[in-house]
Amino acid sequence: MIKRILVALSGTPCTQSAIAHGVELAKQHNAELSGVTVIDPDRMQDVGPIPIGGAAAAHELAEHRMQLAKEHIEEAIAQFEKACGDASVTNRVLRESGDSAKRLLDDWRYHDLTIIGLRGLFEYGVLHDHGHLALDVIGAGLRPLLAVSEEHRTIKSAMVAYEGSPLSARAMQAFCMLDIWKPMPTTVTCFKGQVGDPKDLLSDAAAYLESHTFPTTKKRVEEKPRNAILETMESCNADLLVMGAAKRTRLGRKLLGDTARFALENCTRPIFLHH
Amino acid sequence: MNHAKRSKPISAICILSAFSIAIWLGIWISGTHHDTHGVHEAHMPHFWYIGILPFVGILGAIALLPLLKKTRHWWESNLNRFFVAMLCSVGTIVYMILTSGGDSIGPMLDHAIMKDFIPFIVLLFCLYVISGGIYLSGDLAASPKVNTTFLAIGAGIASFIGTTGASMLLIRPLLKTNSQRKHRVHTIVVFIFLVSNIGGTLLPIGDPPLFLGYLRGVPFMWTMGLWPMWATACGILLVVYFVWDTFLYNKEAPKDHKRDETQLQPLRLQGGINFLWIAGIVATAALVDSEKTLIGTDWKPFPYCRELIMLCFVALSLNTTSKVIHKANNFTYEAILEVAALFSGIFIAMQVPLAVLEASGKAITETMNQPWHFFWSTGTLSSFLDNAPTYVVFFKLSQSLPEGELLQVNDVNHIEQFVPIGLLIAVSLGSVFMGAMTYIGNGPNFMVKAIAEQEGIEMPSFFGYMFKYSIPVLIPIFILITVLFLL
Repeated sequence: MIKRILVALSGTPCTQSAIAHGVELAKQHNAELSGVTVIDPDRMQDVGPIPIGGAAAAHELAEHRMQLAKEHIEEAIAQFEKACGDASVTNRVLRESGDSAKRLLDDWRYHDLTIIGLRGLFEYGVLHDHGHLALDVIGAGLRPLLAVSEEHRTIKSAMVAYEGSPLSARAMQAFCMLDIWKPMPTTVTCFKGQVGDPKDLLSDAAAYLESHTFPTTKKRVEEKPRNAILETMESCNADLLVMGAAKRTRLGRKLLGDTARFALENCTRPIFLHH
Repeated sequence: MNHAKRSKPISAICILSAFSIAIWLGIWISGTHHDTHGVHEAHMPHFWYIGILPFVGILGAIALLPLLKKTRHWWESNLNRFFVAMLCSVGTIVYMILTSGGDSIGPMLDHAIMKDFIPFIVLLFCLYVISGGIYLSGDLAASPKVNTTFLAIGAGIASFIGTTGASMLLIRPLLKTNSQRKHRVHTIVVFIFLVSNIGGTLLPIGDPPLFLGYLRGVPFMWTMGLWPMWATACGILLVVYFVWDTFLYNKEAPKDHKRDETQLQPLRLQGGINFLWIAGIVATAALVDSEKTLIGTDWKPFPYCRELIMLCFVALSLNTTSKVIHKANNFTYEAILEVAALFSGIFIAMQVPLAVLEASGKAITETMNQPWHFFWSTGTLSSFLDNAPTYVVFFKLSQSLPEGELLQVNDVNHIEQFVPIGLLIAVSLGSVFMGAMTYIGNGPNFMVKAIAEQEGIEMPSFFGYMFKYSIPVLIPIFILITVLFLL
């Protein structure tokens, strides 16, 4: 049951789409929509090492970044309020300041679903952290999360990336149990590197999805998920990718690679992330 | 921009320290015992490892305090920077009193402040103010040819108006010219390589370390002899850039290029009179030296005559430059005040490390004695620390190896000294060229990055700049320079 949805107003090209998805789901579930903006002065003003004589330029750059961020925030809030007003959705705006991950997690506690834009969280045209913050907040416990791309896409079909791990199982369970979307044609896909026999995994997962009335097809891909996940999604014509977010630590992601991060950076369709 | 809260104790300590140093210096200068002509014997300072701590401390503070969350805002104040500089200066003075006696302080301060700091900061101040009065605007078609020409001109003028002046003059029109281009980062990065660093090799006013060499007796025109290395590095970089930009230009959408061609503005130079004042600065730096008679006359300029004339050019510049130009350049005195605040401490704190190098130079140069050793050592340190003190340190070290072809450099205390030409070339090239390796290798690098970011360009991070650009592009060029000129 979805009663409260949190939309991150990040001021990126994907923000408009995040708002649209939020409004659509809020109407569908008769839920309340909260738009959150977070300005993190430490993150915004961190311009890196500064040489002698460069402090004035660094200060100017930091001021410029703060100003730009504030402009993006106001723009995003205006978009959010207009979209909610047009759709008659109950809404409120949460203006936060401080550590982005911490503030988002504070607000997430009282919401059933969080929607963010792909490729950047609270960056406001200033920062470019390529999905690190999104994975940090997921790692810190934020779930479930819907990350949407620039192009708004009505979700009519899904692909579940399943490799038998508890993380991917939890993502699949959340997708079914939260009842966010009505049952839709779903492809359960098993990539190389799965835990256990792929045939059994696919059959068990398909049976589980079907028990939740999702019409399911099975697909086995003999490639690593990072290399094939987006292509497979396209070939299945899925509107939504359901996946677990592996490796909580940044070091772990760096060392082992991270499919979730790759998808956050490169996917052009919505992703439902859970762990 | 001093937003950090001013603390009365800090202000009091700064005033007291600066005043005490000035009094001590005044007493020593007005005394009769400051003749340092003659033989100078180097000896290893007692407990030298304690004596070098203020120098390590100030360099550490410069590197770390702007990065730490707790100190970032505190460090924004020039008063607080000056406080750190004074703490390190007082630390050096106390150390010297305890180890060498009070008599050693006068000559040390005379050397650090009167002979190094004042001429150095006056030159930087003059170039900074005068070049801040020149504004170039315009929007040309951003073709590879135009961009390459921009960079070539920048590399050509950087030696004459300083790397900071050339960077600030050209970066805005270059950004405007490229505003419709999709791929811009490579242009800004090569601009940093060429205009903010390598271009400034040919004259002592091109880059601060070379001016410190000049103050140590290197003839003004000597750096012109570095033109083969300058031309090689600049030539290769321009060719690489042209190919690179052509490749990226062809990948971009033709409609963007057409849009670019419809939004042209011819180049317009404002404040051009300041080029005349800069020429005056160059001539003054080249010709006026209180140790020598003025060419063609018997007149020996009085001490600080050179600095006084330079300041007159600044007055002329301020009188002939419209405030509109300064505003267009976002001109403030903050950057030069920052440099002055920090270098007042660096020049004093570095006296002990220099004495250590002087005393142990022979031992060090038993293993480190080839030009290429000096080129890469100076360069590596210049990539991460300020290149001016780095140059001085290796210049001093090179004097411990009086072999091969030598250049006579009567130092600031009139002591006849020699420096091997091969090593001097290596130290000069290392400090200037490798300042381009990181954003912190030279002041203008960061200024250019900051301006580019404000124009909406996603510049690479500190390590991104190194690993994606400076290491793959510059290191092969520096290896070639080593093979061609330094082996």
